[in-house]
Amino acid sequence: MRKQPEELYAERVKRFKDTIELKETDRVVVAPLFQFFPVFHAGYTVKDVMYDFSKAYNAAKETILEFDPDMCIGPLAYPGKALELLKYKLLKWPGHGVKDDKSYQFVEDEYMRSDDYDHFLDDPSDFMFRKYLPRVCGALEPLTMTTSAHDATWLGLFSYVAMFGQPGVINALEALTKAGQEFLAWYGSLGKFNMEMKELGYPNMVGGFAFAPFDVIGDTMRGTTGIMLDMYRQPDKLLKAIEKVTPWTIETAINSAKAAGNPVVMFALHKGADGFLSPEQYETFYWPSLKKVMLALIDEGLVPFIYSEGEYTTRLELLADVPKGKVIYHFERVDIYKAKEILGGIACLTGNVPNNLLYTGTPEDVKDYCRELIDVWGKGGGFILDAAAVIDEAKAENIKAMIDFTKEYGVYK
Amino acid sequence: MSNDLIDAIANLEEDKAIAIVRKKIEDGETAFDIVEQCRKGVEIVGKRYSEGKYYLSDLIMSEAILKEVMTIIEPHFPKNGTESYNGIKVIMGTIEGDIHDLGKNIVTYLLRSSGYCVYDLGVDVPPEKFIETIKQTGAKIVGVCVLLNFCIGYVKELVDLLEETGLREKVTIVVGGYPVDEQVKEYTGVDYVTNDAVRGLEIFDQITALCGNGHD
Ligand code: B12
Repeated sequence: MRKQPEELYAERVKRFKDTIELKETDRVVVAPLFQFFPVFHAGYTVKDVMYDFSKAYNAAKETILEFDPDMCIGPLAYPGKALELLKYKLLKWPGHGVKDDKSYQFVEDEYMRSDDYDHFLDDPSDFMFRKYLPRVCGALEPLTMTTSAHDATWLGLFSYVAMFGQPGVINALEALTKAGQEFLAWYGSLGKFNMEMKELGYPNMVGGFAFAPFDVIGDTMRGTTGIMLDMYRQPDKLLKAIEKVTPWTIETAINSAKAAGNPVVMFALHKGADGFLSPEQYETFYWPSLKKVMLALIDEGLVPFIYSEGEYTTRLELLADVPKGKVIYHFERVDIYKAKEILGGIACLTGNVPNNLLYTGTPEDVKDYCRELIDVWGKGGGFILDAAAVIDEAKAENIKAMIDFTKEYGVYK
Repeated sequence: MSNDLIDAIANLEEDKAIAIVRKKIEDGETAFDIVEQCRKGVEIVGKRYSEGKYYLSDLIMSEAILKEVMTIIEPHFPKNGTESYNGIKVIMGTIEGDIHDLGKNIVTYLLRSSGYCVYDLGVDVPPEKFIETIKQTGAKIVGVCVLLNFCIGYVKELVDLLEETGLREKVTIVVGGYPVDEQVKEYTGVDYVTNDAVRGLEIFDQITALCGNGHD
């Protein structure tokens, strides 16, 4: 008799939980993190789903039902309308700089300038409201015409509020409220997705999202060039800024996991990959704050899901310095033998199946790759099979091969 | 010529490098010699990077130092009316889709310090923009930088566009960057390729000697 969805859900949650805790399970968990694969597979473009949540929703759901992995992931399409209303500058998206069937492109810039540190450190919310938001959202540019709220006492309140009556500011606030409604609707659809997938028997792999403190500053504020120069030219200020954002990162992570009712918090790591920073720089600027965040989450009973992008082999020893059975490490590129040797018995491993292979290879190639990975990383447990990066372009038969083969070959005898 | 500037740049000592440059200018060293030393310093940085001793952060820092130094010596580049100014117009740019500019900048500085009049179009430059600038300036030499394999197609597009607009005969195209070789030259139909800045400068001088064109 076929198992009921509730039974399957409980079974999958247990297998996932035991895998994280490095306990023996019946078989390897297979949980591909899809981004636009479901969209292309359903015959939609990225543009279609960014402007119609129901299409993103249905595509994501259909893919899970068709390929039957152990875990699901929500539709990762950002709401185009909201971005449009904000005139969001951090991304190019279909209709706004990239073709309809292409993924977003990230637009790096120094949205926080090298001489903004003092403002940021002294009064971060004021900096964000009156400088950062106007720079990253074209529609919020007029917020530069407002004054700081710390003047808003007694008669100061009158002149503070008066600034909000200016026509430009009125437009900016209108854009904010309209975009806010779009985002609320979008979050609503993501929440509904989780509930429906649960009813269908699939736990979501990810509860919350957050970023390593170094990346918080490096990705969308100072940019790669900016943050790298800061390490040489103003290391103390950079360290203070990192220290400042660390507790916020912890708070965001905890809140987002709680809101989702799912303890797994995903951290996409960017600027600490091999080759970007020297070992000393990584140990000074990148790792201490990330570790602090991880330990704080673990204390709260949450699971840091560390999703490294790029090569990460030279950082493995540091990554090993965490409590046992509490962390998931995802690798795009890494020496798989070294990773198992150093992190096996400490943390759960995942990732590494090349996305290229899923796109250009044959099902046989995919099986061969997964076989080796299961042999090496699956040994003794603590392994989730997944692609190296989020999945966009891939052949359906290869996705099927990856999932079916893992269920069949990844059995612990 | 001492190695102090070369070493300061190679070791990423910004303040020291700048102090040395100021001193050298005072002592009357030519802008070209100073740029040459910078190039050597940056080359050591590149070498240390390829040996795994330096990281991306170090490369980016070396570029920042180079930029600082250039703002200091820019006023001392050969100027119109002086003997070392040849006024030969060169258009430089990194091709569409590509934002790598360290190599392009070094070549630009070397050219300027040798008396060329360089129009630097920056990075991610569409072929049409090169054409437009050729028309506006009358430059007869174009230097293109490309580091990404998948952007080489745009270099070919540039050549095709030059053919279409009837400008191909009039301009010489030099392409530089990490992946370029004879094959790239053949595929794109450009005139010269090199991934060595000094060789690049020789090529520019050669073109100028051959045609002596593009003059003010
Ligand atoms: C620094 C760097 C970056 C920096 C660029 C910063 C900047 N402002 O330039 C950043 C981090 C932004 C970057 C981004 C990317 N990069 Co990159 N990057 C490099 C790196 C490490 C060094 C390049 C460099 O500056 N070298 C030093 C300079 C001085 O050398 P050069 O450019 O060759 O120039 C010399 C000569 O070629 C010549 N020359 C250059 N131009 C010209 C022009 C003329 C006219 C002449 C005569 C001579 C000449 O003179 C120079 C001095 O001798 C190389 C690795 C490498 N080993 O080259 C990768 C590399 C070029 N990057 C690569 C890739 C793939 C990328 C990304 C796509 C990565 C990604 N997935 O995001 C992005 C692309 C962004 C984009 N759209 O362009 C690949 C390219 C592979 C390929 N051939 O297709 C490389 C080779 C790394 C690799 N092995 O995979 N990158």
